[in-house]
Amino acid sequence: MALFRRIKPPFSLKTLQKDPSCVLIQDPSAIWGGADHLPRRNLLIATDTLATQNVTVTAESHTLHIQGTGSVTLSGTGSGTLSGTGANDRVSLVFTPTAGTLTLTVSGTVTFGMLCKSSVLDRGYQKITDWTTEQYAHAATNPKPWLRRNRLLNTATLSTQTVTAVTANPMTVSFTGTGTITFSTAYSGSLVGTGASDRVTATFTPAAGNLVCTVTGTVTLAQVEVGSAATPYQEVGASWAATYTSLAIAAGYPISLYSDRAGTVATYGPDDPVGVLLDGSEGYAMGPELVTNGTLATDTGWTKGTGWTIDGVGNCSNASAASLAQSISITTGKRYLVSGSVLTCTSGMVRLLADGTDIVAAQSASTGYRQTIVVATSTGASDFGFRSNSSGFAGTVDNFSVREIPGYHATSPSDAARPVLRLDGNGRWYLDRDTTDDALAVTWPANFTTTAAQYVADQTTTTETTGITLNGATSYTTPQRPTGDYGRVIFKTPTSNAAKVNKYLDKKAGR
Amino acid sequence: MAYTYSAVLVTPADQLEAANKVGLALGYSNNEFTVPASSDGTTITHYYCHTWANEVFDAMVKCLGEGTPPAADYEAAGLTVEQYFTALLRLIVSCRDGADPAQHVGEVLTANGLVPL
Repeated sequence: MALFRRIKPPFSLKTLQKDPSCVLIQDPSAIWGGADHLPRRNLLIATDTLATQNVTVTAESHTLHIQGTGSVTLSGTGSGTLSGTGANDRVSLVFTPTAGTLTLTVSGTVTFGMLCKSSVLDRGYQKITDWTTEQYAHAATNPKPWLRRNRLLNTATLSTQTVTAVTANPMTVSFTGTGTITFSTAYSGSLVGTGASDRVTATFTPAAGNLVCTVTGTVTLAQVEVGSAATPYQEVGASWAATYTSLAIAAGYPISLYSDRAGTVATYGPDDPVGVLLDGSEGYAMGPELVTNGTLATDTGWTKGTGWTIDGVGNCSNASAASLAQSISITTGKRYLVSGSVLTCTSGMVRLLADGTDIVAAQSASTGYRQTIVVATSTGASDFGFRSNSSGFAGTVDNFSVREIPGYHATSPSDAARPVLRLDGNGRWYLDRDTTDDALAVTWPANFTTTAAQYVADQTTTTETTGITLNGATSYTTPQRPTGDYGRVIFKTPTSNAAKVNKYLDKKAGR
Repeated sequence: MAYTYSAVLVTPADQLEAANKVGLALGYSNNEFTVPASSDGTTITHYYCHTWANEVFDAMVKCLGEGTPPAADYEAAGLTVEQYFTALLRLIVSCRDGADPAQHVGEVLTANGLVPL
């Protein structure tokens, strides 16, 4: 008799990826770092001792829980009153509001308030001071770099700017240089630099609102963050979204969702649109590097247009519409991740050049990482690299890369048709479509298959459809609001693992 | 910026090309207005789209309602100033935070005597 029994590993994403008949996996929960977002169940803030507040709600069943001897009266998109029965008694009210702003008016003493969707499984009290603080507190315990956020922009050499929507919680500012940051509006005070290499810090608690940071003199490597201590400097370029993308790339995390149709900026959180959804059936793997001498270490492999030189980096001396390019062999219909870095930018702007086309969405008048995802429009050699725009570019570039992203990826046909990534009350990710025009389209090869089987998970069920013809088709996803799209798997031919696929998708939707 | 706003945009069919160019001039993709609608139930008289939007878009709509059109490079999009303002003036735009999109679309169409085709 065997003493030990071999335990079969659970059916998982990797199991699906190893199945040769599995040709598409659309997984909204594959937002990198997404699993590290704190699942928010309690829709209220300042919950220990509740005060009157407004909450944006959806048209579905909600449950309000309170303790204390006071009461909460609902108005706006909901109605009803919940009266407390004692300091240690927990009472609840189930109601279904219409979508919009729900006002909760508190009278008397109400403690440990919690408002959540009734579909939420874990309704244990979740203390929320304010949502930003909760997120940052969570991020502080997690090493992934994008979960910590420098609230400033263009931080290498700071200019006057406003940090919007700060909360009344401790913030810490730090910088090097001999200049001064003077704070106003949400907080009054200043921090004076003491030297080019000295890092000065100060912690203060602003009022909720906008924090105006007025810079005089030279302020470099500046950071404003939530918390009572300065953490290592995190450089942020012209936008946090682009920085977020580069941080994840640098940390080796695959990006599977992009908010824009050009694939330049990652979808990085709930309520952000999805313009590109990558197919997970290939494990979000990348093909081999197709660029020769992408680090520009030597002056070889590149065709230098007017004004471009190479000396360890690519230099452009303010030439207009001039390329630093090389010819790369690509295949029509395949997708390629094209990326590069702008090291310095004295004047003008530079764009990525991909498949012979200037990528305006990846244009930059500041330093930092830039990327785009292009679908090859022809088979054969095509130009890739950097190109200055019509107003010229003076600066340096480096680290150019082109790699195929294998799989059948989905793109929204227009900006208006982008669905939005949402986080449900149980911390599960889904795509929210408007049922009017939202779609993510996949183009299949000609003569592909007429026997495909598709599995789609929404909030209530996982649906299996067999005998689907994919030959050369553009497949648009079905509008599913209000139940949402938690995941989709397509097999080229019927799978013997149907029950397991259903179970896998059911789990994604919280069943 | 959270995309929690529901936005409905409707253009008369004779302004479809110009309305799409307005979208381009404002930094959006071409061919945004994809769904046909009708004032008589049979003929296409309008096209519309729904989009999720954020507070920036909402502020732009509010400015437009107050008579301040958004700054845009309309010439680069292939429009004259007259064409740009005409397309904007004839555009029906509704933006609401937290609205159910299907209900919102239905209300905007009904309020303007339109039905989807």
